[in-house]
Amino acid sequence: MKNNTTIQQQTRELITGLKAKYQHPYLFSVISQPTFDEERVQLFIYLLKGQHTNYKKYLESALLMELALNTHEQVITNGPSLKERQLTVLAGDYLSGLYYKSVALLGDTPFLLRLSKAIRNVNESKIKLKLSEANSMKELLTIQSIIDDSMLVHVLQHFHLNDEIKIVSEGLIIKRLEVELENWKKRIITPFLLNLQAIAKKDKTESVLSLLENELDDRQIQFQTIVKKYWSASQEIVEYFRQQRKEQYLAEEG
Amino acid sequence: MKLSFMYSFLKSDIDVIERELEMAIRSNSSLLNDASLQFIQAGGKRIRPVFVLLSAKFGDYDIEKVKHVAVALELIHMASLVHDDVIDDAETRRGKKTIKAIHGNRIAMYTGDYIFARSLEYMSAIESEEAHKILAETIVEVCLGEVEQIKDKYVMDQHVKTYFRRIKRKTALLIAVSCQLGGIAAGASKNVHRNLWLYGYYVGMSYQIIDDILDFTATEKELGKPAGGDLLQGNITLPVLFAREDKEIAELLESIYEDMPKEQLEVVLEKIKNSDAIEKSYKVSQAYLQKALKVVDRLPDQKIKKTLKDIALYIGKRKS
Repeated sequence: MKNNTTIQQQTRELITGLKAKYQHPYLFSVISQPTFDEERVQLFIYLLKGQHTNYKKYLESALLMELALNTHEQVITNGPSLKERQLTVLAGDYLSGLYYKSVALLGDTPFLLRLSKAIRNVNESKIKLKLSEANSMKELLTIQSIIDDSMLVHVLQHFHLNDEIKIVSEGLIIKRLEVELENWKKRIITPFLLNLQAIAKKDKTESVLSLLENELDDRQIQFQTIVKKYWSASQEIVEYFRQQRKEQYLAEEG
Repeated sequence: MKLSFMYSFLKSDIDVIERELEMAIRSNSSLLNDASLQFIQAGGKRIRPVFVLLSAKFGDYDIEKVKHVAVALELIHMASLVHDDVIDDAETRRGKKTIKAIHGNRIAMYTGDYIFARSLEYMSAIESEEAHKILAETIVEVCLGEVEQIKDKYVMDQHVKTYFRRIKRKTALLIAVSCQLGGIAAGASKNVHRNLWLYGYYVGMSYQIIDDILDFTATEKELGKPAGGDLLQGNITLPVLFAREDKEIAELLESIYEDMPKEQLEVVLEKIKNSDAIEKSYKVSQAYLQKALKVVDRLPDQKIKKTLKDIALYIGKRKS
């Protein structure tokens, strides 16, 4: 198994390098700095390491675009101030521009096409989620999965890591369900849960909680099946997630 | 004479671009489809695609090749407008309700990002690495220009160079790049596409200065928005910078704030209109146009050179 410490170190280096790329003295003195999901960056590195000599550049491009899209998620109608809202829009656009610049320097137009499709899909799905267009749990998870994993999946496709895609996609669905279950218990209502509430209302036989718990059980069984089927590709990823969970558990235990 | 008459010989190709634009924004989300389509059908000058096509005439012109750049640039422009409406909290654009006004900020952000992604899909048909580097760098610069604009709001004592840098990023760069990429997509030589960039840059600078003048001199009907809107929003333009040389006007300008009563604003607008600031600004705009005309002289002999000159001259005289 690849050394986790090295991966963590590489993650930190990558994030530091990226931060240096998008720093702007005025912009980020008014609005807060974009934040990284470090676990996700680690997963990216874990999967892509060794796939291409320039894999870090590919990764940087995808992460810049994810940051851009996440930054635009912060644009809300009743934001803290008009100036902050304005600069948040521009920060997202600026990060999108840096993403394109990063891809342009790679000189890989098929990659540009692939990620552009991913961005398109993500935004179409975000609109569907916002409008509560999902009619069933299956539909809802399809929409949410595109938002959660489209960028990652398209990068993996570019490097023909098709078996890994199946495992990662399923793993991210489980992660999403776990997060939303926690949100529901803490009464934090997310767009996902709004959709699920509407589905539960139509269904009448099941509550939001039982829908989430049942789906999580099913998905965990499904995950095991996929892991068995794509064993050669999955053992390191599964081991990686297991290690992550163990560390998280130990940290929580204090 | 209308601007579109000057390039009427491109009509069938511009129709190709229009159809392609409509196809480009087709989505499996009906809301996204309707919102983007309404936005496209509201029209616009399509000045960027026109510059792409005109510039491509200096190379091996093939509409099937250059249409990708033309569509991509118009989509980039459109995506920025959708986001600008969120930035400006705008309820209407070209007399129609904005996506932000109908669907809210969040949907407007998604729509803008979707259109941006589509523009890059079109650009991915272009093999030239140079073209991508140029466009990417331009997009970053345009964003930074908008950030600067917010930073410099109501800063009356800014240097004129700050204003020029801002309008370069805000307007001139995307026109310059439209010209240059048209040339690159058609395989024009480096010398030619660099001159096309310069032509677009000078025309763009002149265009924006005229726009800033019209904010003071045109009527609300001509502008489609109240006169003096830029000043009220704290955007310090060339006429304001020239007008500040008059101490009385400089003092009045210090009192400008966003919600100031209309009558009070009109006093300031009148003072600026009656000063020599407008004339001085026109002269600067004309100087840029003259530079644009000189650059055209350096381009290879083609019939299209006359059109480029006519457009530059039209921009210098436009009233809305």
